[in-house]
Amino acid sequence: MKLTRTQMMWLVFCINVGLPIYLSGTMNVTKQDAWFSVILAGAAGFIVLALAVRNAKYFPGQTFIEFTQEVLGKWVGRFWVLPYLAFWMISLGNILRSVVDFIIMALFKETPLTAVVIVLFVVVAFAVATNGINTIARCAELMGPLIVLMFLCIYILNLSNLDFTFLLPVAADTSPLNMARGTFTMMEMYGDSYLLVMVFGFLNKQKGVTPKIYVGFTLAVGLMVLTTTFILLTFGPGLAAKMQYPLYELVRYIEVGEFLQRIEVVMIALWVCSAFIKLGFYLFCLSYGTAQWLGIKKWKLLIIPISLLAIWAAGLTTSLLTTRALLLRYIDPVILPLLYFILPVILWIMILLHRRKNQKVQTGVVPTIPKASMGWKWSGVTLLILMLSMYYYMYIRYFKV
Amino acid sequence: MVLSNLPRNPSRSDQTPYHEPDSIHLTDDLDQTEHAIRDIFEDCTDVIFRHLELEGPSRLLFVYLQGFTDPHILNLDIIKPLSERNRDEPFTADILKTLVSSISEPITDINLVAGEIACGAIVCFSQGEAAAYSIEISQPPKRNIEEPSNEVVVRGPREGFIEDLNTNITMLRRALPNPTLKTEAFRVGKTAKRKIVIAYLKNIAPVDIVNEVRERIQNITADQVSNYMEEFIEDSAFTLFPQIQNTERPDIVSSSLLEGKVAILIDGNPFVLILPMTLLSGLQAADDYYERFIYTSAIRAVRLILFLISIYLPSLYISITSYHPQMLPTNLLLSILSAREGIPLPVVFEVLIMEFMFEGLREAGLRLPKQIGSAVSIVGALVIGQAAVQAGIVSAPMVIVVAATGISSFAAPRYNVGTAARMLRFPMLILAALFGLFGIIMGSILLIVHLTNLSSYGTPYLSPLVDREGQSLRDTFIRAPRWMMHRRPRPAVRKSPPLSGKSRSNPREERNS
Repeated sequence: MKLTRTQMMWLVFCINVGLPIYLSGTMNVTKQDAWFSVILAGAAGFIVLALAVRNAKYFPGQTFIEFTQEVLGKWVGRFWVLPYLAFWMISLGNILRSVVDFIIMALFKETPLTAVVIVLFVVVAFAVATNGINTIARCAELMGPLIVLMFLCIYILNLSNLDFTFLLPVAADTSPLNMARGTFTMMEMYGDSYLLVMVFGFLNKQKGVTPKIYVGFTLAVGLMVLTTTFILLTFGPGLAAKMQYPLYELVRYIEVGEFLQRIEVVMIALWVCSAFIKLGFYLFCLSYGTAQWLGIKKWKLLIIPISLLAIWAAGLTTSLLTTRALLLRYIDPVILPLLYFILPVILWIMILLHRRKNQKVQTGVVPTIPKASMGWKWSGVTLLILMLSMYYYMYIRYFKV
Repeated sequence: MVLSNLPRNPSRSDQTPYHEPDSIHLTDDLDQTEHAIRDIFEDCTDVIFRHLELEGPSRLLFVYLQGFTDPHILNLDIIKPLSERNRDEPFTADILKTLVSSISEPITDINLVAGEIACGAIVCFSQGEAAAYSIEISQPPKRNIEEPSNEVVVRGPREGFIEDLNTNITMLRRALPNPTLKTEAFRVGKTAKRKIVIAYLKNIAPVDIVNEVRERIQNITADQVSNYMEEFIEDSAFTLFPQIQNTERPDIVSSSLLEGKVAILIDGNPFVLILPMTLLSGLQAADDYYERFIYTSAIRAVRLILFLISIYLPSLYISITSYHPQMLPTNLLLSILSAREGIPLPVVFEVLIMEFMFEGLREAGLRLPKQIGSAVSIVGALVIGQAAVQAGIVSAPMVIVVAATGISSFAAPRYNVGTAARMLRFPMLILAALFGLFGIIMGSILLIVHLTNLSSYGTPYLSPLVDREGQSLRDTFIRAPRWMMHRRPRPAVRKSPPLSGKSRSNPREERNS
């Protein structure tokens, strides 16, 4: 399995574009300034992505499971990745459930959920089983441009519906605290970027890949910001906050003349395609990672049990809204920062130390680290601790409803 | 690209094993040799034995097939000079070599000799020599060069390949005059040893692909080969999509060779195989490169849409009318509903019946003699179309859908790509009938997954859309002006010199390819 850099870019794009379904939570809090909290959430996601790249880029050909064991030692490394695998499993079930909820809302009336879940996941599992991450990345490369094109079409066709007074007043009604709260509800969907540590090692060439990854991510966030803005401009913050799938409503709202209407069919198709890529990506990372963790050579054997687990997890989450509430209360504020920020930063420091030690062993010379850079490091750690304490203070003070 | 990872086609043998006869050496006695050859060609009326008594001890025997060799040429070019030469010197093979250029090295095995005769060569034996020489001046009957009826262009060369291999190579040489054009000959087939030639440009075609082609051709163990040897050398058999392109046009072959592809010319077959093939090259016609690029780009869009229609239209019709009527504009929905009023069959069966009838009409029309071909179209149009609608068995929108689908499926420039689309609409139909739009989406994802996993000789089938690192998209959905296409596409992209000098400032320097 080999990935090209362009495939990596579109993979990052496809797993992050996520065709916003979580927007209503943000809009409830930040009203007409929701677009700004999307930007903030994107910035946070950018940090996660950068951490993923920093963690993985020193170990070409190795996945997360392997290089943690190399850096932290066999047993600590094994223990280190365990919460990730568990959390990814839960996320996979959640994503699956939200995708299926959308499909049932848009396309079915009385079809049982289980049927749709099973059909969808059989397709995903088949795709992953054929050629692993290669299939998924190639599909992303193929569908990514189509998704961008679809967004552009939505924007252009919707231009006539815009009312710019909906955005006013800018930044007047939203307190910084509310802005932060709105941002937190969005941040969860950008945490997926950290899964990149699982596939970074498959790149055929590392040179020049980082800018491409950032371009893919920025494209996804940019589209999301534009979409949020368009939704606000079309429906106004009050109405948009009450919608479960505001983008879907936006597309349904498009009508050019008498002839071009109901183009949401195309949107549903591409939405399911992007969801397929995200599910496939998760499924691959999970089955490949678990196989490596257990020391199983034939990783494809694990696709079926993990698929069954995912289907079970998808059935477990009773409905999208309750799950969202749970996520907002427990997972978003506690687990996400821990898994996708604190632990990666610690891992990064360990990797740097490990590389220093290795260099010493190999060359016999202790590499001198410039004082300024040590200063940066320590100030960075201080800033980190400050930010975290502020975050937890806010979480305890305001979010625990 | 790791070619060795490709699934290797196991040698598939379709006949009972054929035993090569043991090799028997020729003797230096001419009469004994003649007897042996006559034994082999017993009951073959078209084998001619011609003796030539020269002065001195020399005695020659020519053996050839009647239809392959023109007796006048044999007389004029070989026999007459031989009998008129200086009598004193004895006959040697060198004399023959001065007379005709296409003469083989001495052959000593009698079975090989018989094989040469069967392939149409003149074989010359001489008294006192335990070897034979095969001379190739055969001119088997062949038809004239005509315009290929399957690939007609409005503007462009009008010649097409014919059944004769040598003529085809000559046409290719004329289209691509360059010493790096290599033509390697093979004899393939256990019983019918047919000559095939692989042609490629030495510095442009990747070596590993050429090696792979050689190896796969040598592994063919069929009794005879023809255009269908495609099945022996393609990557995966269980797919609807052709992985090897075939064409009758020398200009398509020459421009494919310039892209680093390999062509296979088969004797007795006007279709030349080109590999590796990609899906997009299956949707491109020769016309695209002769017309203006803006028009071509627009036509390519039309073609792509028609290709998608031929896969999706009937299934979309089923799913929208029976699962998601809310997706249609009200007026359209009303007119469809009123047309369907009183139709006894569910939509799915209606589609299946009509599609079946359409395929039947197509198949029957293909085989019918031209004189009664119009009868089928009248019966098809009147009986199936009009009468079925009037009788209230089939609804009118359904006839429109099926007709549009049928026409679209023939818009693909390569017939076998169109067949893939025609076949694909049946699984889509079933998925649409089961799950509606969701089924179609799932079917499409499966189709895309299948296509992304297909490859032809190490080149991804969807190239350059996937794995497109360092590849230009200027000759895919659009066709850029020729002077803007600097880079060669896959498979040559990896190590060949650039396509042409950057001549954007002076488009006229663009070389003709």
